[in-house]
Amino acid sequence: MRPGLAIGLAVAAALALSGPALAQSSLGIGVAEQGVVQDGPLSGFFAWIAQHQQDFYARLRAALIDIRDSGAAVWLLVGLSFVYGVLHAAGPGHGKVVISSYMLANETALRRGVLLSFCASIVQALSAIAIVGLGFLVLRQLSITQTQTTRFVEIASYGFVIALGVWLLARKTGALRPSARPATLSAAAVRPGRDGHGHGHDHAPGETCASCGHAHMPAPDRLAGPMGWRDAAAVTVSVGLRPCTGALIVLTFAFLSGLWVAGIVSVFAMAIGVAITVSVLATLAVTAKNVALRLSGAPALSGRLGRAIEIGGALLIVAMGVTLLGGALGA
Amino acid sequence: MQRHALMAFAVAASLAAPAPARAHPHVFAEARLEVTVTPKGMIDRLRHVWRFDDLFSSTVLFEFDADGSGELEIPELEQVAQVISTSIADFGYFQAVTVGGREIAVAEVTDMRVDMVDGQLLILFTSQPVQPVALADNPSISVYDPTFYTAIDFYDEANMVLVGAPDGCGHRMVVPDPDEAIAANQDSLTEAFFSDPEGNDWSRIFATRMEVRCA
Repeated sequence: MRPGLAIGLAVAAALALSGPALAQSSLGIGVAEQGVVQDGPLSGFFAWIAQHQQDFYARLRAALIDIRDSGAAVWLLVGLSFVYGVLHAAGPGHGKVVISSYMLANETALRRGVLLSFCASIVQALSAIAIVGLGFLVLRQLSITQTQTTRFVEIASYGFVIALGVWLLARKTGALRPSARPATLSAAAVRPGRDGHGHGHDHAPGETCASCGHAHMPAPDRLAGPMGWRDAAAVTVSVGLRPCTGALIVLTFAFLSGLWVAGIVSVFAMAIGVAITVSVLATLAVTAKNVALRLSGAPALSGRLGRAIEIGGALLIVAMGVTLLGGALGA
Repeated sequence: MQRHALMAFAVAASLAAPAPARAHPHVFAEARLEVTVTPKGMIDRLRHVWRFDDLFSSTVLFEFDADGSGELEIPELEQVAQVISTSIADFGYFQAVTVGGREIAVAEVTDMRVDMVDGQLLILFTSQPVQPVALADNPSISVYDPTFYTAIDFYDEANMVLVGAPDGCGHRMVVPDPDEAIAANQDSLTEAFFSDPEGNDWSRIFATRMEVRCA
C-alpha cells in the first residue's frame, strides 16, 4: 500500500468514524443535540467552528428580537441563519456522518451526494416547521409537548439510521458472492423476481434488530445499478427527520411573536447552509475513497479494498445508529 | 503494505478519538450568586437567580401554557419549577462546591420558584452543601451546565456576592478562557472522558467560579 493510499483511507475513515455523546436536555425542557465527538489534529479547527457557531447563534437571536421589537429587516436574519447553518453542519451532528458513510458504502456519483445533502436538509427544515406548526395548531390542545414530539421523532430517526445501515450491510455482504445463489436470507431467494416489495416498519423503542426475519436485499441485478429512490428516501428521512435544536427554538420564538414568515425563511436559510457543508464533506469522503482505490493499482486488490471500504461504511452507520438510539433511550 | 495500513488506521483513529463534545449551548441564562456565611465562618446558603434568554423563555411559555392564555399562571409556573428542579438535580443543580480539589455535593433543592418577567423566565432557588464548608478552607463554587445545553453567564463581578464573610476573607470571580482551560487540562481531559463520558466532571474547567480566599 502506498502512502497516498494510506492517507486516503485515513481521511475517509476519519470522516466516517465518530463517538456519541448526550441526548436528553439537562433542563428537562427542549431536547439537546447529540454531539458527535471530534478530537486529534483537527480539534483546534472544531473549537474554532464551535466558537463562531455560538457567535452567529447569538447574533441570530439578537436579530430576531430586533425584528420583533422594531420591525428590523429580515434579510440580516436570513444571512445570519445561512452562515449559522454552514457552521452548524461542520460541528457535532450525525447527519453528515450518515451521508458520508452512505457515500462510502455506495459507488454513487458525487452529484447524487450533493442532491441527497440538499434533500435531507430541506426535510430537516420541514420537520422543524411541522413540529412547531403542528404544536401550535393541534398538539397544544392535546397537552402533547414539543419536547415529547421531538423525542419521539428523534428516536424514530435513529431507528431509521440503524435500519439503513443493516440494509446496506446485508446488500454489501451479499454482493461479496455475486456468482453464488441468492442467500436463503435474501428476499430475492424467498420471492424471486419480485421487485418493489414494501415492508411496513413499526419498531417499538428498544427493538434493536431492524430487519429480523426479513433481510432487505434487492434483486442481484440491482446491486450494481444506480441508487434507487428508496435508498435516497431512506437516507433523507433518517438524516432529516430530527430537526436541529436551534431551528426549533428560533421557530417557536418567531411563531409566538407572530413572525411567521421570518421564522420559516430563517429555517430554510439554515437548511441551505447545512446542505452546502454536508455536500462538501460527502464529496471529500467519496474523493478520498476513489483516490485510495486508484492508488492501490491492481484491479483485484482495488476490488477487495473497495468492498472493505463499502462494508466499513455500512458498519459505521449501524454502529452510530445503535449508539445514538441507546443514548436517546437511556437519557 | 501492512505497515502503511497500520499507519493509516493510526491516523484515522487519532482523528476520530473521542474527546469532549462541544455542541454549542442553545439556552442562555444570566446569573447571580449570593453566598451567605454563618457567624462561625461556614457557608450557609447559596442563593441563585437565573434569568433566561427570550428564545428559550418562549419555548417554556409554549410548552407550559396549558390553557392557551398566552401567559403562565401560578399553577403553570409551579410545573415549570418542578420540571427544571427535578431535571437539574441529576446534574448537581448546575453547581459544584470544591474544597482542595474535593467536591462537596449539594443537598436537594426544595424552594425553587419561577416567574416570567417581560417575556424572560426567572428562576430563584437556594442550595446548601451536604456537609459544612468553612470559608477558611478556601472553597470554590462553580455554576455551569455540565452538558453545555445551557450557558450560564455572570456578566459582572457584582453578580457574585459573599455576604457576611469574616475579616480577612474575600472572593473573586474567575472566568476561564476556554482555550487556556483546554491547554491546562490536556492530560486529564482524555482520561476524564473515558471514565466519565457524560462529562459531569471535566466540563467544570470551562465554568465561571467564585474563589474564596482567607488570609
